[in-house]
Amino acid sequence: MRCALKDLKTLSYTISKKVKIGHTIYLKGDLGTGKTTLSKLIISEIFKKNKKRSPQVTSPTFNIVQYYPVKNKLIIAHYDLYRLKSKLDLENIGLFELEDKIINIIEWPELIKKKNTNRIEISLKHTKLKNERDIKIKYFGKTK
Amino acid sequence: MKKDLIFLGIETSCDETAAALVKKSKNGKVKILSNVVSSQEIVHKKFGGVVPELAARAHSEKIDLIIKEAIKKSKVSIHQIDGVACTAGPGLLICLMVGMTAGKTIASALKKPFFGTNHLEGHALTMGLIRPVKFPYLLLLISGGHSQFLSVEGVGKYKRLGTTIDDALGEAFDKTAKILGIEFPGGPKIETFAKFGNENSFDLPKPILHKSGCNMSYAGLKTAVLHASKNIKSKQDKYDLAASFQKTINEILKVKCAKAIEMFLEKHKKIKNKNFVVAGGVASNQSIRKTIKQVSSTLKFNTHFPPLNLCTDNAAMIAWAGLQNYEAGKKPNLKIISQPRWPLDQKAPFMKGAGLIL
Repeated sequence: MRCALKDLKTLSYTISKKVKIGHTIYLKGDLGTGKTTLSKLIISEIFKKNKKRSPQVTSPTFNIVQYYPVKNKLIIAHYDLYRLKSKLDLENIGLFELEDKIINIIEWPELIKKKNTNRIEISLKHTKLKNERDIKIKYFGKTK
Repeated sequence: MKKDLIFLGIETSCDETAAALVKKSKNGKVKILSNVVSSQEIVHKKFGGVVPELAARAHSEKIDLIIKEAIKKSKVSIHQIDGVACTAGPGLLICLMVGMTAGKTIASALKKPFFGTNHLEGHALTMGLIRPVKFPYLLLLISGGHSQFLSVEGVGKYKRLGTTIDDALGEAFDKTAKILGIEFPGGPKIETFAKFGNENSFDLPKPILHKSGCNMSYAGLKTAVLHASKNIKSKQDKYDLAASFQKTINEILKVKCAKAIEMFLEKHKKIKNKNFVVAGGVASNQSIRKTIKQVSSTLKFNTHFPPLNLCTDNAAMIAWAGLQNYEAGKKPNLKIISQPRWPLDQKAPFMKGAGLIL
């Protein structure tokens, strides 16, 4: 699917409706394809859905994970595994401790070998046009 | 009754495990007694080589060693400490917890006050470790994880004037470096590359340059660098792109710093001592220093840059922030839990972002 920046809003709305606690969203794609931009929109849609004001979402590259509490018992964890090198790092950051209790959004998920069962995989690719991306979405497990 | 105060600081919010002791004498003099960070050679030696960056995420493996080293180097006994300050956030929860547990344990065992401290407050007050700067002053924090303008009005009093709405400035540097084939985090190398390049070779965008106050956006710039990199063939092209990138950053900072100063003066109309402190790892870039100094002196501000070892993550700034909170009469907070998200200015307005219309 070809997607311009303005189409991302519709896309993030669709995804925010599908995703529930315990579900994970993988965001794959090169630098600058818009993974953080899309994460931002999804997080903001989830907040909107719960009638809450959306927080400021910034890139999690440095911190590796940022948590966004939506309401009691609903937290979004926004991960960026870009700087991680091994499976041990995944355990060190507690990626597997909370996975069934929160909504996970994971950028650069390639390091994860044992993939989450209930997940949405989104791949973003650059196209010849600067403002357009090629986006593929696959649903797995209960997200179907 | 005034007396000498010594604080132990602990910092484990991200990659660095760090501990430091800071002393404020009764005559007001401030001295860093020791300042140990895990990336230092002495620590690596004890581990038989360089500690891999993210294995350092297991702060727990070396926190005791680092604290011990800090106390040893300071030449004071642990019983002479008047309080313990520890980074309680923002940062990676699992990392914060290591430092917090160590800090709380020491404070409880010694029956000394404990201060869970904001990492950003540490950066905001750092300059005081070198020389006193009168409140209020304007602060620009530019590092791998943060980019923001703050009006520092006193201990515990911070107003955010602007922030990045997407990537941090250091991150833009690191990712540009990566695009140019330099291993992450290669931000500091951009400066070396830029020296050999022609800064006018590439025309790169300056997102939200003249709108949204002194808020900044760097994600789009990074993507533009990526697009530009598709056409580069030679080493010289790489130098040119690095130089053009750096020039673009400088042009953005020129405008945004002037805007931040304007906003700061709007808040403090009668201020006489006009000071602008620039902290964070990116402040080590000489061309950025030059730009900021220029803008600042044109607008009659004195610019202050803390030395590099205090710009990057360290525990001396945490000890110092804790010490000042103690002096300001703030209550110790042994019960505070780690705060992965903890903005300095809780009331700061929310920004939309990432290339969307503001």
